[in-house]
Amino acid sequence: MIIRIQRYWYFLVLLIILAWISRTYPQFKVYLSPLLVELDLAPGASKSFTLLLTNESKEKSIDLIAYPSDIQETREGTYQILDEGKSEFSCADWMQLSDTSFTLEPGSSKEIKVLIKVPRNAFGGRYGAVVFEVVPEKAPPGEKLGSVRYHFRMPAFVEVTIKRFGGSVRKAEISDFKVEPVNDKRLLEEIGADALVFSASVKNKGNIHMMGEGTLVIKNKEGKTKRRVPLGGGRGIVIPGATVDFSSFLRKPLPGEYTARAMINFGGISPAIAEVPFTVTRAKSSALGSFKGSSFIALDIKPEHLEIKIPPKGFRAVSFSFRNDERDTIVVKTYRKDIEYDEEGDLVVLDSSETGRSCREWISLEPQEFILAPDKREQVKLTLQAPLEVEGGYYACVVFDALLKGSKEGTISTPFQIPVVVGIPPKFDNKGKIVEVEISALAGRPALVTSYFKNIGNIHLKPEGKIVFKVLKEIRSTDDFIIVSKPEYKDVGEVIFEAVEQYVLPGGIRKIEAGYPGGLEAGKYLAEVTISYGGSEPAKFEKEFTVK
Amino acid sequence: MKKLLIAMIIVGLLPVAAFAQFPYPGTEVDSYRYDSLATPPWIFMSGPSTPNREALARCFASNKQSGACNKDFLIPFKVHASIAQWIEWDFTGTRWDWFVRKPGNYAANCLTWWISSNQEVVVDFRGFGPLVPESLKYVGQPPIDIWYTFDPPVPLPPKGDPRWISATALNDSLNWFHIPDSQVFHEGKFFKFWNYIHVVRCNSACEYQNDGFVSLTLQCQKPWIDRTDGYFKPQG
Repeated sequence: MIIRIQRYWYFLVLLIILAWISRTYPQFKVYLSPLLVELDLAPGASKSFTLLLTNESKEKSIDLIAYPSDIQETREGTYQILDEGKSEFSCADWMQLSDTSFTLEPGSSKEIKVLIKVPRNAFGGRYGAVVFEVVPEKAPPGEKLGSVRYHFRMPAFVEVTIKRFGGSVRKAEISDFKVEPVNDKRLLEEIGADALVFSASVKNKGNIHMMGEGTLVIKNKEGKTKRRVPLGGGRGIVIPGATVDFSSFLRKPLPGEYTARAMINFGGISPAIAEVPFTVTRAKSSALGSFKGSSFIALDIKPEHLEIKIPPKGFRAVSFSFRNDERDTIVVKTYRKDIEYDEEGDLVVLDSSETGRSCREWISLEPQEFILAPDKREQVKLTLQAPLEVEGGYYACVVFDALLKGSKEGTISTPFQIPVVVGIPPKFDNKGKIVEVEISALAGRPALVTSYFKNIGNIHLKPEGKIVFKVLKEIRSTDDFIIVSKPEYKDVGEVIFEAVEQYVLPGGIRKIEAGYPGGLEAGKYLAEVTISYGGSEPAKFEKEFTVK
Repeated sequence: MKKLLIAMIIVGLLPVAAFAQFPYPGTEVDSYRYDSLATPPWIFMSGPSTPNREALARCFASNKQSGACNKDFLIPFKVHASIAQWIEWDFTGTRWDWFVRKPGNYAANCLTWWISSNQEVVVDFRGFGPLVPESLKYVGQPPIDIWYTFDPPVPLPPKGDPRWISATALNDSLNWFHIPDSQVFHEGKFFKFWNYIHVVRCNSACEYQNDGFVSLTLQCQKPWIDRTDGYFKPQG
């Protein structure tokens, strides 16, 4: 009898456990890739792309609907889903999906094919999303009072650049620039109460997206630069019609009067500029009056980059041509400045440089100031006289400050910055080294490798290279044997990075980032970074790391 | 002995019968009622570990969901470089249901999220609002107001505390959930999403509903934060 009772007890416990288990819902996982599709398409062209959805659960199926939608960009720079037909710059109605309602069985994948057709009369840029929405479970009938159904949405964003000669209007400007104390509670906890937020609102008035890189410069009352830091971070994209805030949070400077200067570079030669004076006292800090900004000026300048090779004591003359595409007269003033490129590869224009590689003083410009009527052309002659005892690379920047004659008082002139790169033979010392490598990797997830390359020669370089990932072969020792040998590694993959866009000048350091998309398994690894830059031997760096 | 055995089986199956007689959807979550005279004012009523059939209100979440996105896709975050961006997510439900016996204020942890990414992520909300009657015949009934909060402290903040965000205000981008990039975030972070409802006497025993849209998107632009000392001395 005792045996029978024990057997029934097992039965009873099993029943109770089953009753409880039946109330828990199995977990399922959904995988979507990619999340962003960038397309360059000609008017009238068609192109298909595929989005992959996977239900990684082994137990639960999932019901989904898929649909194209419009998008908008928030001031924080985040794409948001909009109902179709709400955006002027939408490509939603150009997209056709292969499936719009489907069930993903456990462990199954589905490729959604998206066909996009560009109308023949299209121009500029268009933007949209393919949205996958989980269909909420239906509630069983019951005496519930209320329910909230959550519709989880996963958008894959689509950016289309229409490749057409003409028709694209690239026009962005800073519509506001503020210096304020930090009010956001979460940020106050992170960076403290004595912080200021510098925020430049960039409005895209054109018909195609702009990629902005911001720089914030703080000068004291005497005009001396006290800080130069990035303004905002991330991708920096501003789609047509959107206004995006480029913001930086800094601790308050010591009490005094300052000027904050925001500069947003869009990859061309003319950044958007804004300035606001502000004061800091022990009690508070505040802006002194409203901001002043530059306006977008349609001034065409050629060439946009100057690269010259001359012998010592050599002489060169180059002409810049100007065309006024505005309806107003433009006043242009010329300046000679020094340059450097920061770790990100962004051009930094300086009043003076201490690198010993400035050619600013070798340059003359004529005329130094001129007025250009609408639709008219003008030329500026640049002459460069190199001294005798020099060799290697020398650098400067020619700045043409343009201002519309009818501008409001206080408007900041719009700079057009032309880098001047001079190479003086015979001895070009191409030499570079990798000074540091940082690796961020977790098991099964893409790894991020950041390499820092330094130019230690006398001439500008454009590094390119690759990273090879190797996994350490595990050798297990037994109780009887302890195996002593050199560690052996096996190749698992590599990432190639193309040449950087902007030169690394002598003495300069460039940050080069590369992602390994495959995802590494847990283990011990070696990353071999090889960077070619035109020297006799490539720069190499090895870094061991562990993936957990 | 047979009778004893049968009695034990019946006693053992009582919880099963209790759940079987009422079709609660999904999994019960901890729920609380508000009593302004009590300290703390939110009093526990029922939950998955201690289900209480006599509770004045109970809340059930259903349909656990989770996902992993963009594991192998490169987004060019800088013109000169590509960064592999990934995101994994896990939500504990696609709906929740309140079973209420009496007017009052009731709170529950309606959703738990687990999100992991190597970049900034934004969780945005659209369409959130008070619960309104589903059936046309109850049109004109007062809605049931709801408030939400993320990761509230224990004990829960009292009614009227700014940490409780009204459902309508949740749609405002100021209240969207920005998750900054950090090493902790790379390894995954839990977020608890609580709600409380305010049921008044004139709320009829009809079903009230709201459809809210939650999108998980990657943030392309983010603030730059000076994490160094940042002080600088004026010259001259």
